[in-house]
Amino acid sequence: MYLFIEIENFRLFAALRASRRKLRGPVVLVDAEGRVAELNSAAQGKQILPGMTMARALSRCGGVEVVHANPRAESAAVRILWNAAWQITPQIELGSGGSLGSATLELVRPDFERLSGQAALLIRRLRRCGLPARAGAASTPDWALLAATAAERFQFKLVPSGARMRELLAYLPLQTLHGLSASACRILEGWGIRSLAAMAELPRQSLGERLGPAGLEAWDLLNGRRHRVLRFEELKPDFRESFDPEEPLQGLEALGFLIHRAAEALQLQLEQAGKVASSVHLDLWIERGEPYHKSIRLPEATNQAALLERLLRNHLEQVRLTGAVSKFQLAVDPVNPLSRQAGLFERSVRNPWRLQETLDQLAGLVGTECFGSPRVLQTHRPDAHELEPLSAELESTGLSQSVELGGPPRMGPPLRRFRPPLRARVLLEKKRPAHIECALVSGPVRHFNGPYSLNGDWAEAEAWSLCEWDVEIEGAGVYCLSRDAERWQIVGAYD
Amino acid sequence: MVPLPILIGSMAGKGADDTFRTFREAADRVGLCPATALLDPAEHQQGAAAEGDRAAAAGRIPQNAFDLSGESWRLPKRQLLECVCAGASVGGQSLLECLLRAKWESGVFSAVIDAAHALDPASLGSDLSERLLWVQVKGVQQLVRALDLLLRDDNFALVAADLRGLPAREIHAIQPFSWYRLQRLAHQRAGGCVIFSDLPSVRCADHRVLLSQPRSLDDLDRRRIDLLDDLEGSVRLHNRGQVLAV
Repeated sequence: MYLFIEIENFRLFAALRASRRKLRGPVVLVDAEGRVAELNSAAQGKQILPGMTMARALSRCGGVEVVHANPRAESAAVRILWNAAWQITPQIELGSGGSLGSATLELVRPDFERLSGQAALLIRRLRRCGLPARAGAASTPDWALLAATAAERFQFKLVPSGARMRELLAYLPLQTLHGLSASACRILEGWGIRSLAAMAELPRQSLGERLGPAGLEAWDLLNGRRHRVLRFEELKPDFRESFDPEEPLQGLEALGFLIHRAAEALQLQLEQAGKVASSVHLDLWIERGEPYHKSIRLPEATNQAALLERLLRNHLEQVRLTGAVSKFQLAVDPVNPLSRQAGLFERSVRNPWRLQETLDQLAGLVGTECFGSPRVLQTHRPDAHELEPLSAELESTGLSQSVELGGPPRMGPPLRRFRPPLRARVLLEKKRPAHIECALVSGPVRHFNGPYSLNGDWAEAEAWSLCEWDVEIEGAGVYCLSRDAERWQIVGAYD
Repeated sequence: MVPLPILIGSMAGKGADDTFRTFREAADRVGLCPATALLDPAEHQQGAAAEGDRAAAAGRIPQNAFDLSGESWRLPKRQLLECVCAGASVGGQSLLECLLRAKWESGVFSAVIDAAHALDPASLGSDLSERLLWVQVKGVQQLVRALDLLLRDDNFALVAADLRGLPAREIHAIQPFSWYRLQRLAHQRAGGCVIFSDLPSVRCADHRVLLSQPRSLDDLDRRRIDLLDDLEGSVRLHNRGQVLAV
């Protein structure tokens, strides 16, 4: 059994993968020599033919959209096709030359019920990558091709037996047979032969005498007598996806579209290689500006396009680009998937991707410098701390384990700091605070502890020295009072 | 397991009555009638009797709602808890630490959204800081949006927002439907959500805790765990704005 996948107007769609435009009118692909190489049905309706010069095509239809052939995009699209086909079997023959954009797969003992689902999935995935495909399966490669030709775009046609194939051939006109020239078709039509089934019933010898070797070959093909050996190809994995859009891109939506296309293609590549991405690298070439590069370490290695897409979109929402994007590249670092089974009672980050998304959104809301995990600095200076990024790579803890205190027991209530500290007026009696007035709290000092003299960094330019008291203000609680040079401040409340 | 505090509504004392009066006056000025009604000592006694909840009448919190004593402690999961601190030194930060250290079954992180940037990391300890996300916001709009974001993420067991220190007019600029939306988010998640405020601000809070007993200097020489046990306050149970028990 063979499966044939065909992408009609492959070169045209490969060049249009980076374009968001819905081209409904006539579109032609022009090759390096300036001739029409491929065209859509609307262009055919305007009497434009393959091989015409661009000038001639434009003279026949002034509104025709001209797309230039892009060999790099074509090779990238071929890779996508191969990666997608590899999901079914690694025995893949890729079409070349005139049949570029097709693939023939050899299936050993296929499960027909499963094959339909697999083929439908393959077509859907190619569609998400911007490549409209159709597929057919039959018992010979040539019949599979004819089955695919009979299928509509985005559809799969399975022809499990020779009898069903003959039924199908009755519906196919002569022109659908590749390799049968227009003159041969005219001769056959002169004989009253209109369908491929009728042609297959002709005597082989007579057909050969009239049409030559092409006739014999066509007869063998239609009757399933031609057996050829497929030439399987192996492509080296490439974990980069780049686009050179014809027009520079402006705005997040346009970039988001390219990210979607690239992420889908990279997912196929990662799945084919059996890898997952550990980090992602985004490169944008800005018109009249510095290129933009960003590497993001993924919270959890993955091969899911949707996750990569969401992560990059969230990131780009916070970036202000200085100009339009003339070139785009997305790459991933492949790693082997982690094969580890989590313990039943183990607790770790439940959804690292959700966490990353939340942190990205927080960064957009308050700025990266305004949130994080607090870390106390190694100094005696009060309130010396910094914010570190929250790490999703925590060691897992048991479900029954709470955050326990370590070391000696903590004494006293935690301090709640006033930032900035509150200026205070302090009445001293015998050099001890007796009455305090500030914006928040005022009253006589009932009890106090201190002073605690603190100083540090005396060898540095920013030497500091202060005295602190813990004071209980009558009916108002306990506060930390600080004296820095001649200034009294309430730095916090023991809450 | 850290012994968890008992939040007791020992509001029969003289100091508590004064606190209620102060609160009521302050809340009346800013037009918080339903919430201030909840802070009426008379209603406190009447409500408890009407409910027939002996535990509440005795100042203890009903087991099925908000029991903080030892093993029978039930964390405020899937609910919006408001902790009203009637002063700067009444135990709000201790309650926050208690909740941060508590055993939550969902999520490994906790988040504190801090409008006054008042958290002191040195007081918390490094063991807690590692799993804590401290978000310093400017103004209530950022606070509500940050709360909204974090409540949607089940990686965070506890999401606490500290409104203390914000001007009352800013807090009251938060639309009631914003709080209702946040309440619904809190109900949908496995973890808890606590709002710390100076005055009753969250009308749709499922539970409200009032902390009013000022700290004394002797507290500085006591173990923090013992302090949590002695934390005094008042718990009022709400359901869609109606008092269930006081």
